Amino acid sequence: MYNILGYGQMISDRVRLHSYMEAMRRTIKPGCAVLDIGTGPGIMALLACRFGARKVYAIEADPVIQVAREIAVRNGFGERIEFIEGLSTHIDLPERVDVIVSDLSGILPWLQHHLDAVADARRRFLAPGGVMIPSKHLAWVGIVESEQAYFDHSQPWETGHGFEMEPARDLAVNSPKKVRLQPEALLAAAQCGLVLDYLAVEGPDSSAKTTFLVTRPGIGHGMLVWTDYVLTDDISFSNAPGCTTNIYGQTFFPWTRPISLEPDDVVTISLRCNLVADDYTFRWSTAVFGMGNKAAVKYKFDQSDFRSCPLSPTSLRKGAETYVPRTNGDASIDSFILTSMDGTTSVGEIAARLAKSFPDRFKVRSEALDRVARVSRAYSE
Amino acid sequence: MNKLSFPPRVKPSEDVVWRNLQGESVLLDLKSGVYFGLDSVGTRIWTLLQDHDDLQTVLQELLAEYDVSEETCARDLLELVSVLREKGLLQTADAT
Repeated sequence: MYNILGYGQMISDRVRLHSYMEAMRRTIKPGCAVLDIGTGPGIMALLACRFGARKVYAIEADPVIQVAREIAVRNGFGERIEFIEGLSTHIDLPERVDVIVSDLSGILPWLQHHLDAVADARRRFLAPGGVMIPSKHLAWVGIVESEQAYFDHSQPWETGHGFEMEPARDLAVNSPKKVRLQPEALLAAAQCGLVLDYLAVEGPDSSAKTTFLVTRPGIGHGMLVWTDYVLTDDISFSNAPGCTTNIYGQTFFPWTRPISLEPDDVVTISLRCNLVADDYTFRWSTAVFGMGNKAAVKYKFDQSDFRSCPLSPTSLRKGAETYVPRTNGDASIDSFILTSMDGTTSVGEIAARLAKSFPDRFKVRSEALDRVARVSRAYSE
Repeated sequence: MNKLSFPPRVKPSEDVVWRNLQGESVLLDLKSGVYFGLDSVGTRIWTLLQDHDDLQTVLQELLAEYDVSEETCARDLLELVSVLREKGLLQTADAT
């Protein structure tokens, strides 16, 4: 989800938008039906109308859909675009469509429920012979030398003002981040690790194994992953080092420590991307073999962004399969609110009763009102 | 302890990521999204399994570190390995 400035940046990205525009211009035929998943302020839906779509279904879970509605009306497309608030996976359409357009990925294709949403839409909404835009995402992998990219992961914790800061560094070197590196950073020819074909993709999880032959001596700082956005067979754009800058950039996966690499060293990297709850956990395992000798392991790292954020053992324990939970005071409050949501009582009335029943927790009425409103937004129809 | 009673060589599943939290550890099964906790001894065993797929080697390492009889240690090791295999956190070492 973006704020309005973020949506503005997406629309202002000429590389991205012009590529989408051209792909849609060539694909959308007069009279066809189009589905726009994650329409945001509605730009793709508007373009689909401009290119002759008879009907556009524009789905968006974010409240920005209200802005999209207003914009559509102002541009005379209020009737042709049907805006649907919610998640595409929870929605039914009255017909199958000829084109499904979406841009739910981020720097990498593995973002929240993107792959599940696209696969679900293809199965349930795409007419036979229909077109998916984008048609594919290609994930490329490189190994890079970039002291600058590595700096944030290491330097602050190595010069800890005389203190031992290793526990923080352990988290930082497992934290991928957005970068924009140039081709000079590459220590070996990049490899296409994975092709996600949206006419075929099914599950959310992916894995890729890549092998690199180091071509120049240098200090390896980590792995770089970027995406080719293949919109149609002949229209694509890329975040590869050296390509025209667009809004996405690349993702840098640091190594545990910088390593010295020599020509003909062989580096193997296994990247796994697994959807856990609502977002991805990445694991990258690296092995370096001196001069390609499988018996001569120079370096070996096994990393994951699971190790990148501070975790509360107490909180984790409460989510363990074997944990036997018992409700706390907050549960009593939410339970009271949910029980009071009987279809006849207003939020204000429930808040008044709540404040009366839990006087120690709600000193002023507005606190109770906020709490009830939050539960109402989450659980009322 | 009869060495033949040990299961085949085992290794941590590729679908598991883990981290150490103050001597204990948390394992996350990427396939199921389920977390598992290990106490300090379990964490030591899990750490040894990162480097050794032969349970006899793990057993000898544990015997060198803990004041425990071989019979008790082997029983506890097998029990934990059994649970970890059942949960899919360990796999046989020759499986891919």
